[in-house]
Amino acid sequence: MTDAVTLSQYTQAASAGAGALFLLSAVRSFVAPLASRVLHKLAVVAMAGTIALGIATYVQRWVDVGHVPTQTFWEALIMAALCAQVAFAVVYGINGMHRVKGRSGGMVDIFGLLICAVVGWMYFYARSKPSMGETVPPVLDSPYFIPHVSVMILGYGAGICAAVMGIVFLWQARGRADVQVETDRGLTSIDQFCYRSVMFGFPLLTTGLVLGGLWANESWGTYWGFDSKETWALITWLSFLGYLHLRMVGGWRGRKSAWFLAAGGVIIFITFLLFGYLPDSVASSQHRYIN
Amino acid sequence: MSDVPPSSPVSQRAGVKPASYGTALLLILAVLVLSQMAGEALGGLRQAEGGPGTGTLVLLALGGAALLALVVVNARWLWVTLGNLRFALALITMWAFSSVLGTLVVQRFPNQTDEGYAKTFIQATGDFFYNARHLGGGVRVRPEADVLRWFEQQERLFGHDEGGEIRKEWLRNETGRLKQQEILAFTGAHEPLLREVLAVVSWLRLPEAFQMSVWFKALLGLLCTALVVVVIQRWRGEWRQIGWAMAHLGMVVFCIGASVRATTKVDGFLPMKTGQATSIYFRKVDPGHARNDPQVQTNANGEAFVPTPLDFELQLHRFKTEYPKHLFVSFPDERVEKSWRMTPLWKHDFLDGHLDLKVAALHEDVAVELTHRERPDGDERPALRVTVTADWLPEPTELVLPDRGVPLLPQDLGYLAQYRRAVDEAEYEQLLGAVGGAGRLWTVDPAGHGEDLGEVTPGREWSVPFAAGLVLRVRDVWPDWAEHQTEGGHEALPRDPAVELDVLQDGAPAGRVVVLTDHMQAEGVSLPVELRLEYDSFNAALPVRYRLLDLPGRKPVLVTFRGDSVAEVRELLPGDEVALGAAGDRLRFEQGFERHTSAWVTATADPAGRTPADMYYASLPAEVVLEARGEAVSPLVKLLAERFAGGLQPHGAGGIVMPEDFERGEGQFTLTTDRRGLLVRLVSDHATLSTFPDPRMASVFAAEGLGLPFRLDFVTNDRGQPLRFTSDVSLLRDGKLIKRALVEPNQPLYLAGFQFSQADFRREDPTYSGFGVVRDPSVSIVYFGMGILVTGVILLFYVSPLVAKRRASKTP
Repeated sequence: MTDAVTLSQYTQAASAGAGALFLLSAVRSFVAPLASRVLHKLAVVAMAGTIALGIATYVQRWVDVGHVPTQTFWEALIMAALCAQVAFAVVYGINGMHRVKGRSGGMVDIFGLLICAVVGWMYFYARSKPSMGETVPPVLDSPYFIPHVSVMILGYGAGICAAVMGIVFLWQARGRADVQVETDRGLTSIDQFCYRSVMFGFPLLTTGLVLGGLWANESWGTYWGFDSKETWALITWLSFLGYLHLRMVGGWRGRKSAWFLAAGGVIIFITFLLFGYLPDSVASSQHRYIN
Repeated sequence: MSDVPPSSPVSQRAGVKPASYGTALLLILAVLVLSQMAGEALGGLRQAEGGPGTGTLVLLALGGAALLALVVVNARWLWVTLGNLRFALALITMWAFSSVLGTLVVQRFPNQTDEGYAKTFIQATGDFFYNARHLGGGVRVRPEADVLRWFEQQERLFGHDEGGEIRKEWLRNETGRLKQQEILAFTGAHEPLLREVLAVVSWLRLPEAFQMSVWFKALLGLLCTALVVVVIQRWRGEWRQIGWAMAHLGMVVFCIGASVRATTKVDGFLPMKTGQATSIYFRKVDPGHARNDPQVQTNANGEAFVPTPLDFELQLHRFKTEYPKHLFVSFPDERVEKSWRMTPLWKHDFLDGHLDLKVAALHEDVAVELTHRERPDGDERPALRVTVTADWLPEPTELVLPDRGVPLLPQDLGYLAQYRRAVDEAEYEQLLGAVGGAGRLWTVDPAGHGEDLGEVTPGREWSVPFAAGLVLRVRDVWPDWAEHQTEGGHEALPRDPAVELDVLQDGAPAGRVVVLTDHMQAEGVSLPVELRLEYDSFNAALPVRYRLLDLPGRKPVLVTFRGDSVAEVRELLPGDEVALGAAGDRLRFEQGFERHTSAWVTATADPAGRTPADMYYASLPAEVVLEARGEAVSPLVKLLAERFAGGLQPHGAGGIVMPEDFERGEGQFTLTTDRRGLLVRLVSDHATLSTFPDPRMASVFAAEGLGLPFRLDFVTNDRGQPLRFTSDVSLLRDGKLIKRALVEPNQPLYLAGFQFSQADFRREDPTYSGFGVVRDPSVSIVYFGMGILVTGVILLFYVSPLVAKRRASKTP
């Protein structure tokens, strides 16, 4: 029985493989697109395999350490990588991206490639972190632990997908207001892809925040402690709230929205990794991994 | 696809243009700043001497009226603006921006003093500036040669993967430690600058961005107003809009609850000790009140509290901090050890694969008992099992007295009691009537074999073997050779017994030899043999001495000696109890053995009469059975396999037992079923069974050339993170029990609207338990709002689009 650390290395390799296939497929699509989209399909299968391995890693880790494996920084990064890929799969599915054809297919491939790159970076960063299991402190021993953390990280994964999609848009738009995508069922827009990613992720972030509040009240006696991690989760939520208002009410489409989403990606990065360095966090955060 | 009308129909109807984004931002900023100023001014006025004067009240009324008129006159514009997207975006912007500020500026706790806050601010902001200035890490750790050697050693002992982990862990800790030093130095060097930043930031009211500020409340107020206005304006009564409306109104209910909390929430702390009962907790208060209220106390962090009574009493019965039980694997030769928490699936390899350990079984809540019985074979080892009751024992204790073993000796030296088996009738008669000699003299050869020369009595003589004409004569016997020159030398305790012998060569004095239990000192002569003394402890000069005496097949008798003469002889039957000494000590005879052997037996603890909580608080030991394989244990395994196969049945041999007995819970180690590995039982924190091999066994192994290069210890590791901490608490009102419960983190206790959470423990004080006390009636409003918000968002983004899609696919 291989241990989780070894499995995570296989997952990393599989992710790199999927990324390489996406790259090949992108080059093919931009240079001389094939109707059969064979390379793209292979890349998607590789991605599915990576997700399966990622789930196996998570389960094996659970068995290895004997408790929910979202305790150490290493474990959090592995889970975030998995959630980014699961979010990719959902976004791919709800947008019907398998129907994209021609040159437009290249954009979907770049999307996949960038997600694999983000995941690859997370695994790379995780390698420098100690992977030994740690005892779960009593404060984390709650039925809220799994729902809150998984919903929240999946929401961030969806946000990352939206941000990456925004970057693809910006790169492809090159001054134009919108980027049309050719599919089996006619034309659609990358902007629609971005929007649906946010539609998927926003309720997850909302639920994650609420679950966090419920848990905090039972554990610490207050549903909102103005803790830095909570506040930055809220800022992430607000950035997507802004995007949704601009799009649904203000009719913002295209390039402007895409910049907004890219900024959202930066906010997620801060929320997940950098918040621990901010002054209020140093003073008092309950969420810090750094002791 | 939109469930919300795109542009503002309201503004079109009203003929008024709503504020632009920029104007909306300015409007909101104005409201926030002015409300903050107004709040502070009113607060100041309320606290002023004599309250606000009439003139102030008149001016306030004028200002208020003017503001109201302004609103009324611009009502249409305000109505249109509040429901407009630009205003919503401006609100979101302000909310996000103030949140970012709130994380960049250290936030002050509501009950924190100025000094407490200043300390936290300087330290945390210094930390942030240091990291900002040293992006990519300001500390480079270079392990020294001895650390690198240690890495190599760890890798060799614990395997490649583990070695890598240890390296990472060390680097992380060292980087953190050095970085902390750098940060402290940096913060110290820049303290004047940081204090200036603190001054500016305080001047701008930023430390109280959320918890205590009026402007944040005003922001939430504006938010609620806008949310209500937008729902009223755009509600068309369509089903599709329900999710959208719920999302907005849910937020409103949440904000109402949050605002109510500010006035109704009660927050405090309750430190308790086991056995204590109290109805007073420490409520957090604004340190500003400290000046007026003498009852306000401040703690080390600069937080202010007031003792406040509850209308019920809390009693803390028990508290337990549960630490994990760890297996420590140490390599004494290398002076290295490492520990793991035991789980049923744990396994690890060491020493470059020469040692493989795996958990075969893991049981919680076991009890260990020392059992005594007859050994079916082997040497005679007579012993008596007795129960002794005395002041100097915590409880009636079962003891085994072996033949001529260490006597029972209380601390006040009032008496001693020793068991003695006579070899024959003659010796039996002799020992019935006389104290007996001081011991026996033995010769020992280099191979360790001894020959009994006979009893040591004053004046007795022996010829020295292999030395013609040499005679030894007993001169004196000393219970403690170190005391032989002191006045009370003969009455000393038998710590280092010795017999002094004169050496005579053909009748003439030729020297002296002192024979002790473990060596011999010859003076003026050299002897061709080594002599040893087997001292009889019964010789100690005590006022009263008891000898339990028997013969094979004869019931034991108790002979009482006062001084050197017999005072009493009585027969002992199993169950008979006799008094010992003058202080009320008692001895009860239980059982006699011909070939005594004892063994530790481990079994699941009996929960009879105990609730699960009792079992938890009993902190019973755990048992782990490990399977050990590999070259490191193979010499021992081979030897045991041979011996077992040859019919050797170990009894009481330092914990070695037959596999069948091991399975029943007896002993400490045995061979695995395939006879190629060891099964070792360890019981946490047990004096004997927590270690393998124990020092005595280890030296026996070493002497036989079977030395084990490792040592296993199974003990509670209270240096790390606890697994759990639990308080057993009762709530009483007027002396009557209302509730009894266990309180843990994530499992608070509720009564009369109060929530008691397990907040704190102290490693060094296991009787201390700290509770967080909160009463927040607004929580139900907040939960209700959260529920509506989440439902609305899910309806809006998950359900509605699916419904719309289904409808679209139906219509051609």
